[in-house]
Amino acid sequence: MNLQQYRWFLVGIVVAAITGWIVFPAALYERIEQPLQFSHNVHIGESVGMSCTDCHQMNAGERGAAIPAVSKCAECHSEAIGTTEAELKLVEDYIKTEREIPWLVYSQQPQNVHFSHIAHTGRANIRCEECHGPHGESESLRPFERNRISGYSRDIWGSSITRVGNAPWEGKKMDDCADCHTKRGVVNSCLKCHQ
Amino acid sequence: MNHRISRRDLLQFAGGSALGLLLSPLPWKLLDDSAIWTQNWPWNAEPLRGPVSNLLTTCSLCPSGCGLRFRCVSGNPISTHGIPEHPASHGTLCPAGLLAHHLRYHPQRIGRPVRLAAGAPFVEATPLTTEEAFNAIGERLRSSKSTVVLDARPDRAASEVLKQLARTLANATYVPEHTERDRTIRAMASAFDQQVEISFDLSSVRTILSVRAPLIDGWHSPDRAAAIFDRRAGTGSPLFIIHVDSTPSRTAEVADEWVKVHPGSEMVFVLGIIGALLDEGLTAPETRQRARDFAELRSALAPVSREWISAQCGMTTDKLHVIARRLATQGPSLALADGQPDPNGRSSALHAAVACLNLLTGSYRHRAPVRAHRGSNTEAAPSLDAITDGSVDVFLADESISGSTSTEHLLAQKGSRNCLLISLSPFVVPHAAFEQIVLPAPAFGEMLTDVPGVSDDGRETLSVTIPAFRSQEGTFNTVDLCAALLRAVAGTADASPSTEELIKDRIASVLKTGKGHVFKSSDRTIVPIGSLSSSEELWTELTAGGAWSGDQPTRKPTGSFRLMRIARPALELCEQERRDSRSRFTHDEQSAPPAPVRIVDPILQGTTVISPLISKLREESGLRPFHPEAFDQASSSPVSVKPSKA
Repeated sequence: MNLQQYRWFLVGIVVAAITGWIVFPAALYERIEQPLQFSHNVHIGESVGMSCTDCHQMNAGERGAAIPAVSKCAECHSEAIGTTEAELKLVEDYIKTEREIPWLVYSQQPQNVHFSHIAHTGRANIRCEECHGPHGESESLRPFERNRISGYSRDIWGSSITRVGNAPWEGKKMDDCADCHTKRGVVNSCLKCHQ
Repeated sequence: MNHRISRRDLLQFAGGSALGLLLSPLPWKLLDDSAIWTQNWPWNAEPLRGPVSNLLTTCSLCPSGCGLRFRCVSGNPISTHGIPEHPASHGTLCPAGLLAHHLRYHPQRIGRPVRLAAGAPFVEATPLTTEEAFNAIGERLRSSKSTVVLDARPDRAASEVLKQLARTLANATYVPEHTERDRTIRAMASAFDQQVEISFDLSSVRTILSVRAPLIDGWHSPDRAAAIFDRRAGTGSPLFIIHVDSTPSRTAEVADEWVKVHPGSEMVFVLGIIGALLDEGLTAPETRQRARDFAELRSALAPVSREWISAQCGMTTDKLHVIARRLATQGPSLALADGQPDPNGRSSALHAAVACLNLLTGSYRHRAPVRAHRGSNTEAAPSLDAITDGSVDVFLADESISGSTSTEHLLAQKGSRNCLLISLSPFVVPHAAFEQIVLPAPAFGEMLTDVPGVSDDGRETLSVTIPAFRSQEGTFNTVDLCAALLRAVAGTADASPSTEELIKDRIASVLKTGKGHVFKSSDRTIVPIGSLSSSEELWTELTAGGAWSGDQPTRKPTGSFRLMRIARPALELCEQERRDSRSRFTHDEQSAPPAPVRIVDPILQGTTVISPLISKLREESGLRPFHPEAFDQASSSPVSVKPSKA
């Protein structure tokens, strides 16, 4: 077989493969830096010793909650404690001006989804790490990767473009939630999540 | 070497690219993302953000009075849930209750008076100014020779204002609308020589003969529908349902047996069952003793040929006997009916026949499903059935709570040729027969109303629906309407109490009786009414999602009854048909009547997934077995919700 005859075909395959596997995933997501850097590890470390629920509310609060308000930060950081640039920015730009930090939420669900943390942590006793991975031990906040077409966070799909090899906590599409519900014997009904 | 790229090269490249792309995630991810993109147009309304709170109240869409919790964001209700410990509903809500917060956005909602020609679709409604509407109404009321003030939700505190309106207007009669369940109950009660009050308790029934009654959607409260599902699934005492209908309704699908009769022959079918009971001597012994005209009923039914009955309804006489035997021997049994829609004018006769059947099977006996107790000597308001056909010039229908009347066919029967239907409703619901003027009422969740009821064991109940939304300007509640109509007709109107004052008066009367218990939604407890110190306290509890239920009436002997009093209309209709020798059904005389269809229960066998809305009913009810433990929401939530254990 003379491959030379089909060289353009093979070129096409290679170009498409590169486009589909490398260029497309890179171009699909825009990377947006968080408005402020934050180290979870410092806060849960020995020197501070906080836990997830010290800042992240699990009860019914503001819709899309669990992200603490700046008032929570102000409980300790009404004045700068350290010397990091991030903390100085927190105090000067947000706490003293009483402005909420416009966090970009990695696990943000679409508007038509009602999600209750307390139902999962309180009733089903699911630990934070089961859905959010080692995020609670992060030294810094990675950029928020936003899908240019759907507008969703990359965390909803997962880091792998094929979803193969995603870590257990990655992926928060409807099917991921439904699968977990099924495994735990919870009946799925539309109105459960889409109120 | 020739480096020119030919068309063939391009085609190869395109083919290779297509294959390469198909083998890459690009097209599949693009499909997924594009689908999401098409669901998020910029003009889609965004849900509210803000503090989340709960508002406890009562659903008033039907008289069941289910406990309702609005989940609110920034004070705006965004979803509804049941209240698991509520005695009337045990956490269940019907599909209407689950979406009650959407009703105010219904496309047929109106914010100003409209006029609609008979038979016209709602899009052809012509807006009127309030002045135009009341001028037109006033003129018709002044010239009307017969006006019916139809209360689609009787027994409210505001119903007294409607009664007063009917007394004030010339040639007007107040008529309360009755549910289909009420019509069977009224028919049964009319058989007794003494005044009795009757309630149906489905929990003690073993066999139900449902004649078109939508048992699982609308006949009774959603809590009772959920209880039927549970009994069908094996929880609680066994239940056998025979559903009689010419079409496969939802209840037919759930029933153990769907008896497919010819359309409109349901009354004849019931007479056939009665005939079979009499022929086999299967009537209850107490009935033979207490019915003063038992022999007369036998004689009246004797000439009605069983073969004629069989041909009319499409059931073999053997099948009629099988059903009759089951009702008599697999009791306690209960027959229920729904006569609407009723193009043949037979619904009251159907209810009468069903009532007679219940008496013959002894459904009223001790621990039986029909609870009859001595009633109070109050004069019953006339029913729509009793109005002369074609005599009504003006119907004034208060549909403000229910949204529409459930008696459209009866209205068509009773209205005169140029009858005007004046509706107070949040929606335009076209009627085929009449010109309409519709006055806008607040939608569900926008107004204060009381929800009186009677529970299965005969206890009176009372709860209150409070507004969760601001009502639109220009809408009328019942009290406003009556005042405006009196001004339109007579030029003046006395000041009448507001709805809140009327309800508070009612609550004060309830407190004075000292009877019954109050469900307090704040702590999910039930306390004797005597523990409340004032009517203000009772008002506070009822307007916070609580409910009062009275004492169970004492079952006193109800004495004798007369079967022919209720059976006569059915027998007369039957006789008329036989004399006319008309067969309304064209079926092959030679072929056997269609056999009843036994429904294999797909739900219980797990081969069918029931509707998510039904599963939502079971979810919110706390009856499902998937909640292994109760939990409390964190203390900062205003309401603690504890699902009851299965």
